[in-house]
Amino acid sequence: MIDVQGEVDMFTAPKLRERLVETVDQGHYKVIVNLQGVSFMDSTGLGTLVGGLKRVKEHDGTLGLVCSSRPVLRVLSITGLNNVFPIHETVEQALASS
Amino acid sequence: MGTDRLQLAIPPEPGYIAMSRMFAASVARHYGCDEDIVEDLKVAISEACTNSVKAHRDGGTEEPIQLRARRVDDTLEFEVVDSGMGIDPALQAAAADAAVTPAAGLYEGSLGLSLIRSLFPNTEILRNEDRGTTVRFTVPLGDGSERISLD
Repeated sequence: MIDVQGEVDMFTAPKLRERLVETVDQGHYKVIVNLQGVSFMDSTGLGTLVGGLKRVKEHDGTLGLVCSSRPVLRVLSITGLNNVFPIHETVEQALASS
Repeated sequence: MGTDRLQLAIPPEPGYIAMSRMFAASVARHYGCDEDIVEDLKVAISEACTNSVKAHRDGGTEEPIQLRARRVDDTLEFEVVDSGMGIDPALQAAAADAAVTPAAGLYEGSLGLSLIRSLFPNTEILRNEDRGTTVRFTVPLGDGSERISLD
């Protein structure tokens, strides 16, 4: 599981991208990204998550999100990505479904 | 109150995009905009500034990016003005369709513009006379009644 805190934009997304790449390179293909501590995300952050999804899918893996933050859910919804990522309200729910 | 103008200039670097969001959110809250509008505004400003930072990087220019806010009647008009390379017409065309779908391709640039247009359909993307691009949109003002809360 990758815990993300703060705001994800062009400045901070490279750190998330790095962690996603590392995680997959280490052989973890069922990844949960915990966005509970994220107060803001824009398309650069969304693109990074999609990049992570593509990586795990190459290994028949999954990438689920834990998110109940309204601003983050809104951008996921507007872009239709709420239909692309499994989204869980709590870490427990995400773990139970993985 | 019809001509209130506020302005911020940021260096064209990713680390200052958060500051542009804070500026826009502060202005919107000052004028009593609803918090839902403020959150949408932060996304739109972040997208516009991200595109501007890239446009400056591609054009090799270090001039600042200008953020302007102006009260126009019962709306707030925001502008993000850059002096970068301009936006690829193909990306503009892709963004002209306000419907954002991940199937349309999640590459940087087009999604950002589409997102701005989805949030604020009145968005205009203008080519500046000299150089660069201006992204302009307006948001509705709140009634200001929530600027303080008293228990």
